[in-house]
Amino acid sequence: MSPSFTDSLIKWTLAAFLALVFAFLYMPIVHILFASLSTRPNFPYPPEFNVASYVRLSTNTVYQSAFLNSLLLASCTAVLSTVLGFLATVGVLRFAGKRALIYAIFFAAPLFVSEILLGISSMALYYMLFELQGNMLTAIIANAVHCFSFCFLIMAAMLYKYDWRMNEAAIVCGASPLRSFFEVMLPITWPGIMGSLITAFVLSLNGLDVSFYLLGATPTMPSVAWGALRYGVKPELYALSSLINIIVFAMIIALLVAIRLKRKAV
Amino acid sequence: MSNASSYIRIDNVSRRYGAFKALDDVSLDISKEEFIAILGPSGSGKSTLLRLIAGLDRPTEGRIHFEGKDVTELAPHKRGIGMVFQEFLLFPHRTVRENLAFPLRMRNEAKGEIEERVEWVAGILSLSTMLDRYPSQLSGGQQQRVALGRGLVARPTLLLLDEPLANLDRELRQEMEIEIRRYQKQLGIPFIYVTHNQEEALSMSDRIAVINNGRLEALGERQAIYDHPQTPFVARFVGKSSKFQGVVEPDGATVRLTRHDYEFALPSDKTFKPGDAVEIFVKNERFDITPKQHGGAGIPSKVVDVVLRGPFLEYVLETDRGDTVIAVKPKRNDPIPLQERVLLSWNPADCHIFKDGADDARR
Repeated sequence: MSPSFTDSLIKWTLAAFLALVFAFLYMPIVHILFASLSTRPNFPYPPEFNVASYVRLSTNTVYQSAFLNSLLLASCTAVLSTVLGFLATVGVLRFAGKRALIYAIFFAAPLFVSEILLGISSMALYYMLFELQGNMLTAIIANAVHCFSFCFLIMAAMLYKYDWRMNEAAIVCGASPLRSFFEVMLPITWPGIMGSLITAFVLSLNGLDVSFYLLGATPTMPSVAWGALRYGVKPELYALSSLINIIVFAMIIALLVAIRLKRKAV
Repeated sequence: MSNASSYIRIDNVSRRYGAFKALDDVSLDISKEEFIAILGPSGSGKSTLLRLIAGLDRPTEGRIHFEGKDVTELAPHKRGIGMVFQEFLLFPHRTVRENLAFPLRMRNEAKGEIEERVEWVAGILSLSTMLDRYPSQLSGGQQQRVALGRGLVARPTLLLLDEPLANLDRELRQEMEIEIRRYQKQLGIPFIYVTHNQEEALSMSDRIAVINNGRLEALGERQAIYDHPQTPFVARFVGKSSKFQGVVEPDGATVRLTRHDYEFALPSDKTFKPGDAVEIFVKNERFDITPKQHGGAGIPSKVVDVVLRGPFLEYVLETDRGDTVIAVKPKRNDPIPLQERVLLSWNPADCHIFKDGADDARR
């Protein structure tokens, strides 16, 4: 066998493997898209292009409110857990000294508690201690507890490399501590903060267990999907999922284009 | 020395961290238009002093005054200072122009004024062609210039420099030494330059403050610090010198080395008791070397190596007792050959004599 033949064999094998990986990643998502566009959602092949489910979605108030609730829950959780995670990171990296590792381990440890237990125990505890009924606020708090550890880990990885004297450099230039944070520290550590926001958002948007026990009757996307499993999944749900996927993809592409444009401008 | 007209006044300042005294009762007056070097080994407290002046740290005791105003409790961003760091600490997400404009924006200057000042500082630092680049696209020397420009652009009361040349290579360092000194003379504001490198301190500053173990060891004109060190530490730390142990002879007027067969007259301004153990420091360029066959007094040695240092020759000598001494002489066309036996001596007025253990007694 000539070397060039071996080379191309390896190349094609790897390409095939890559295609396989992507297929496994995206087949379920594409299936949902097809199901949402088909009159026979249980077996939407060959694919059809029927927008009836999307039209029905526009009148289905349960799904709409589930979507809005999820969005509200995820946004608030993302911001809350990122702010708390940021403060924890600063504390551990900047002020904990020799005990930094111990604090870090205790901040990250809740990662290993199963979500469903966290949901049940939060519900019981909030009611026992504060007589708080399950509502949006308690759901946000419980989700933030769960997401906090993720946010902490993501931002600690980023801020670990941050040179804290950058803040001092800004301050001796005449920047107030607040201004040095917004003008220097935030822009430099932005990738870590963004990563934390996105992770917390996605986790709480899709998380079923914590919200399930704390929200009760208030519908969220995962709880509606879970409920639908028992009473038959409606095509509107497929339509909503597809819409969310399309929006996410559009945002990722926009982000890539923006980065490309910015790099060209430099 | 202390008077109301001094521009920067550091008054009995101490900084403790628990039981550790990073800085111990340091007083220093700096006049406008002065270039002062704070020289000391690492861990001596020199950077602590700089941080106290900048306001990044607060003294445990003592006051700091700028232009007669007590700034001890003033926040660092309100002090109107410029500072250059060893690692430059340029803002990586901003262009050179934005880095230079940063201190002006923080002081809420008008847009036209900001542009004008950035142009001005880019002009004197030869940065005009790279204003739109990012710090990562610049060489070390260029980053250094930007750091310096950021420190100077907003007409600071004073400029603090924390080992700014330590990360540059030797050639660039020497070039920057001359330039930094020139900017200081041009701008007429005090530069306070912290360094552990005595050559930098000597080449750039008007005055040198030597700091050791948190205490001000010596303060004076650079020539005086170099030629007339007042403590053994300064004699050892400033300039390159060799140290010998000696004993004052019973006549009280002669010093005899303990390890070598050499004695010399005690300079008349030094008073020691007969029998006192003393330390003698001789700057490497102050040695006399005479070939042994000429006779006379001196430490018998032989030449083991000759190092050419541009206009100077460094003779590496080994004494008969096996010690190594380096003597620096102007370059000649007929250097003393290797293995030549010589006598090493010095003019008594050129050496620095201290009572043995004087360094420890001060503590």
